[in-house]
Amino acid sequence: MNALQYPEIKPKKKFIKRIYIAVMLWVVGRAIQAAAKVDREVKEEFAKLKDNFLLKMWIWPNGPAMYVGKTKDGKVKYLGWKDKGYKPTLTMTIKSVEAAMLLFTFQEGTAISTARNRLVVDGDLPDACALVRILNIVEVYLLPKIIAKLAVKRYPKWSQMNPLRKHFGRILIYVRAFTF
Amino acid sequence: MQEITGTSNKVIEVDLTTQSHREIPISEKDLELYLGGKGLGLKLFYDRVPAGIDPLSEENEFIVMTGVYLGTGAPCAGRFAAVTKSPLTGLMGTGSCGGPFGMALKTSGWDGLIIKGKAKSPVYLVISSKGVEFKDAKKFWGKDTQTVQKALEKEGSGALVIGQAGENKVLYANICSGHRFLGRCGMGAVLGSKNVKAIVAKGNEFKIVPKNPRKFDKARKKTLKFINRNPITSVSYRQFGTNANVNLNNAGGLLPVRNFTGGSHGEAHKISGEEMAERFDTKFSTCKPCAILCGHKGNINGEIRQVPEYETIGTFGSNLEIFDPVAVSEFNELCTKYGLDTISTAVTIAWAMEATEKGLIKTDLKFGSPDNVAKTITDIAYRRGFGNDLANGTRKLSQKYGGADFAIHVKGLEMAAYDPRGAWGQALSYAVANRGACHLSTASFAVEVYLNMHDPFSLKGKGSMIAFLEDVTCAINSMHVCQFTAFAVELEPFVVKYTPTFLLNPMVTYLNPIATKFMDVSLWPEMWSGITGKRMGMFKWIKAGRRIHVLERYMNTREGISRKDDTLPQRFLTEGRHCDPQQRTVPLEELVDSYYKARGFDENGIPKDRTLKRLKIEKK
Amino acid sequence: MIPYNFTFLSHPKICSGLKALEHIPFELESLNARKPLVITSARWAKKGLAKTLTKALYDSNITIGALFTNAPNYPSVTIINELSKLYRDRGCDSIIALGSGGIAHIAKAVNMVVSLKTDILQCTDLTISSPLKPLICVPTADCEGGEMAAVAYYERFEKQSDFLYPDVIVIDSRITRHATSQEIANCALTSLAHAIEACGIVAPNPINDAYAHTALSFIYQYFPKTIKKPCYKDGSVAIVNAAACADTAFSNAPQGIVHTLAQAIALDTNLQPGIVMGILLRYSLAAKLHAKGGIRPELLLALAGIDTYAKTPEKDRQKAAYDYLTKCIDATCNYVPSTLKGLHIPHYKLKEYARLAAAKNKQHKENEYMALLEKSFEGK
Repeated sequence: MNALQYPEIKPKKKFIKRIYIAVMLWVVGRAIQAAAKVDREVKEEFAKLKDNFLLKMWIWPNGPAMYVGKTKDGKVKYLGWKDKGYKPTLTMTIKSVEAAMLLFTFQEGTAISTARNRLVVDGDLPDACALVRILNIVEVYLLPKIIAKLAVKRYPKWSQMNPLRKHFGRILIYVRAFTF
Repeated sequence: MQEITGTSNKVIEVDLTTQSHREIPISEKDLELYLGGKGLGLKLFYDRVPAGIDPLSEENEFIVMTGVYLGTGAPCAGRFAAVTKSPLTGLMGTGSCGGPFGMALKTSGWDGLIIKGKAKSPVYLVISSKGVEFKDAKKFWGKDTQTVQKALEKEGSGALVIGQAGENKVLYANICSGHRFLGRCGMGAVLGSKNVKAIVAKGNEFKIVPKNPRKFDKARKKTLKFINRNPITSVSYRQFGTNANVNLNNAGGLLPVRNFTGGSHGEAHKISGEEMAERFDTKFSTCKPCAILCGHKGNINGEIRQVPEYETIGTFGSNLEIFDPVAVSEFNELCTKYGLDTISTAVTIAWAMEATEKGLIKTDLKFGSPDNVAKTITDIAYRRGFGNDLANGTRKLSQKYGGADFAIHVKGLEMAAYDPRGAWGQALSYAVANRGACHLSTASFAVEVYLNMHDPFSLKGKGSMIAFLEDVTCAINSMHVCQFTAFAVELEPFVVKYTPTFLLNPMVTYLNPIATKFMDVSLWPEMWSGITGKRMGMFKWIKAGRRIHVLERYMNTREGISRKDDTLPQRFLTEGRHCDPQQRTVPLEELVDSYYKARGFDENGIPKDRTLKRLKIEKK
Repeated sequence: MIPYNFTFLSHPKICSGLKALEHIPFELESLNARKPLVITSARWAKKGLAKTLTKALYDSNITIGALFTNAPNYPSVTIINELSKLYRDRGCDSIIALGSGGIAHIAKAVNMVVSLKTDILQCTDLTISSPLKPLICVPTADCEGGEMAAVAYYERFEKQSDFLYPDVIVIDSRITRHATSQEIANCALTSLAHAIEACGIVAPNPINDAYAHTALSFIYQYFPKTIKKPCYKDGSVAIVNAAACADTAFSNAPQGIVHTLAQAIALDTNLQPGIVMGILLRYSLAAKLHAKGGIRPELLLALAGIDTYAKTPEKDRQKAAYDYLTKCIDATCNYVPSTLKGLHIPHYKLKEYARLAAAKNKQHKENEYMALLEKSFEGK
């Protein structure tokens, strides 16, 4: 056997997908920060979380990542994608770029992704459940109904989120997320 | 002496169980459709014997057919065919032999012989125009072929004799006639299972005369002229025998070395025909009648012995890495005595050597060493010790002990001494040949490597080329004439002889179905026509060859053969060789696909109904 | 009712479904491996499966030590030794088998050699007492049985050990949808036979039954459609899942009469063992139906579901289960004849097959094997 016919293969990178995921993580992080100011439900969810709550959502093994946490004064802040010595209390590890793509192209919701073992959650279970609720609300704000229905487990009914709240909140979140 | 004009059209059927015989007529229609020889033998077997029988049981029949040419003086027509169900492969076994039995049977007034049933105790048969005598063979049982042949010389002018290997039903035991053999497929075991030690034909009772002597003579003279003009038949084989192939194969990467791990060797010249002719002061010792004179005998180790043929030299010599022709000659003599097929014996021993090396079995056999080989051959013949397992062939051995990747057989028949990685057409031919890994199904290596008429490593046109060569070979084996006449008859006509190779090669490679239409093989059907008085054009003759081949294939599919069996040992599909810098292996799937298409088989290798209908083969 | 006494082991983690291949880097990392030797055949490399697998390992810390694309179907000593050397030379720490049949067994044999640091022929007599190197199996749909089980076949040896289970089985439709109908038939029939024989043993246990029943229900639901359209994604994934479950059930039960006979016949005739199992299974069940004890009625539950099971009177359940099973086997009618004679197996060889089977598996006598062969020969 000529072993030279079978060389080592080092893994390449999926640049375009990584860029897309990085952008999506940035958008989601900024949107969570915005929603925490705009939406009442999100505010309440965050209020129940501990003061040192810090979420790290990242793609195994080399990122990209998103850090969102509560500051000392109780505000929810998107802390960026770099690890500046943070100690996350809740880590959501997406096992691969492809799994992240399924999540961020809304082919699978967070719950389905977790059920299909594409997502590993480290931390307290109540915190994880709260975060999933927050993400669902953020996705409803960010996405049109036709896409958001794929992403979330249950699209909120009229009585749970009336169109005025939804559209007004959407405008505010977009403005906050993409400006300051 | 009485005369038979054309053919006698009668076959003698001998029933060993009831110790009786009767005459079976051959219809004119069957003769025209199946030509005689192998073709007619297969047709008779197809009509008489159902599928699924045990080859070593009473139900199996052993059929010898002399063919139309034998006894007429046609060049190189001293051969006869045999057909039976092979115990080695479980499929149709066919053989061709240049020994004196054929002539003796034909000149006893019979076109063929059928042996059926089983004798209660060892017998030998004496056949004459009057019928058959059953004689007690207890005194010969346990004796070797040469001793028995000598003892039977006074009973008739030609005999078929089995040795101890046949008596012990070694699955690749052969049948001896003179110094030639019905070598492959284990026919000796079939006779051994029937308790038949020998069959003698008195002979010299009839003279065979063609129906149209003028037509026959014209074709005969032209054939002789071609044989004496062609460099292979008139020089190479005539001077050096089939061992002229050694140097050619060594140069072309076809020589089997060390159980087919290599395709050439620096010491190959020691066992070449050229060197042996000089060393052993060889003289002619051939089939009768023969115009090519490829058989030789020489002074080997102080004795006058038959020089081993190329297959023996290749398989016992380079394939075991033994480059001493004297040692190979000793092994050849042992196989002759015991009645063993040299190809199967040697390839089985090569398997044993490699399996020992790899730790799968424990024997004293080693590549490059002739020690213990002679003892092993004897053990095989008597089924003693490990010889009992070796006597079943490489397929059964690999099923029991492993080593299937280097068990060099196809469908159970061990491969002859041409490495298929050196010529892909030959590889395809081995894979699809009806009786197993048979090199004589097409001898495509000659077309690809010796004559450079078809690119050996091109996939183009291989399917149709192999199909064409198989048809012609089947027809040749039904005449029955020596296959070596093909060098003369196919290459000497004007178109092939005077077209330069640089034009001929691409035509045959890329336009094969058209190129074969220009090949003039008309001398054979002309002689057949001259003898029988029936019309037989060239294309009708080739179609008859196709009919014979497809009938044999169809009979094999009734025994379970399909695409899964049209394969090669793993070695040829995955391992390259040092002699080939490109380390080529055989791309078999594409080759088999193109062959099935050319043949009119479905994707499983079964002849389609319309193919059978077109060839007038009745499905059973 | 809890059985009096049983043991059961299923080791492999199964990752099945959309983008399952992309789980591999994470699973390898959790097994402390980063440099697998990937073994596959030229056929699958030509179909692009090796490239698909390579792409699935992008964006990870996994470096493929070597991607060997010429694995033959026969696990010979030569190839095992060559691949073991390649593994060692490249400093690999795990193995991925991409393909089924011989490829998986070659991978297991190589794993034994590199883990036990001994010659493959000596492994036959050794008892494996500790886990081997990580092995991931990515099966294609041409399974022949045993790839995902606790058994390795190489040369003419059979090695059984709990440590021969693969660590992870990855079933992805991008890999499974390339088999032919004949291969799907072979895979499904092998799984069917293994599952039925596993739950037809003298002392069944509920865990093994669960695996066997899952295999049966997948085959029953998806087989008829998949055999007509082998590229049907869901179907091919279901069939391979059934093979994985059946292999687990097979590993936890003694080898049955159908499996042993089919192996003996396949060895001599080059037929696919599943095809032979499909024929033998029909007549084995027919015989069992009329024998003492009969067929377990729970098979009907596995095949037809709770509604049909509940509707069928208790005394009719065995016959109904047999009918459903034969209906399933009949879906292969284009690829599998209904008798051994249809496969052109000659009658005179049956005795030899019975003898070989009895020599290999002494749980049944030679006359039992012969009786089944006689019934299956002409279907009488």
